[in-house]
Amino acid sequence: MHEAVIANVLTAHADYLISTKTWDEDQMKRLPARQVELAPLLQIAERLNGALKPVTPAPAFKARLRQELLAAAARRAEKRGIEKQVPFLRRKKVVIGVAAVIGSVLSVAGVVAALLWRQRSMTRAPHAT
Amino acid sequence: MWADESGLVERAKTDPEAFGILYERYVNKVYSYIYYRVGNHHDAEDLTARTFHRALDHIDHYVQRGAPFSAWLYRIAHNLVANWHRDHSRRKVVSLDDVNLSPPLREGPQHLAEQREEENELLAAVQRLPDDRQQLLILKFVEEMSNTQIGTVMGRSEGAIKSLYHRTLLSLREMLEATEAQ
Repeated sequence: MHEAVIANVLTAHADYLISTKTWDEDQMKRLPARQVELAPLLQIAERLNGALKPVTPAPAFKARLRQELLAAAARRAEKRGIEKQVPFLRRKKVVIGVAAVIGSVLSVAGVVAALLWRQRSMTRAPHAT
Repeated sequence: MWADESGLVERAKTDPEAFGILYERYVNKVYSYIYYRVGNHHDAEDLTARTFHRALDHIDHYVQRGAPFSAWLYRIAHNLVANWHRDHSRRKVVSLDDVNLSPPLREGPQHLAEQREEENELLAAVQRLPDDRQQLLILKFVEEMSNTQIGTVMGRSEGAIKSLYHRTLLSLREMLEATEAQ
């Protein structure tokens, strides 16, 4: 129970340190028996807040990494585009193949028809003379 | 904020520019987090780059489940840092010359030197803490996250984070007292 109360006080204090939230110092007064334990912990939290500040990367590193990532993302997007195009290209090849087969069949049929027509006209020729 | 971001993350799966926006939004935070875990700029740059490259490689598998995109990034960074520590099996001490210190509370070079020494001792103690406690302190004081947000990143409840924070401060107190006694 007491542990939970202390954890709550420490959390409220940390929230006060990192944000604009207010710190109710009376919280300490409401826990007179734990003041000896709490005071050094609050002091450590304040020291942590002073020491642990955000660190910024070098601008040149940030810019270089951004460029690398954008190039990698663009290559990924391009690869995806090609992968999407593949089924379409495959369909296109099938259509061309079918058309070629139909064209070949029609050509052969035309030649056969021409030969038959010629043969027929040759067999009719003696009757005419 | 998190809801607005989900559209951007979806776009980033196919649109390089959208990924660039996410990068700009989080690069400083990820870098800060990694820097305090490894203690030097060279490795912080390397691990930050690997974090974002891994994020790009796996963004297709990212599914929004109520947690912010940053929580996913921090998890990637955390795993890479853990591997880094395993490979190096040593902890480096943060050089305070490289850290952006807050303005000195007390005037004078003597007081400033003392203050820096105290901060050095504190950061050295932080780096001797177990991984999860270091992570908690960095997310709280560097990234300024609430316990709920920290819980999301670390996969723990808000109550568990409160309790861990309490235990972490107790450990630090013991370590600093031991240092002072030497």
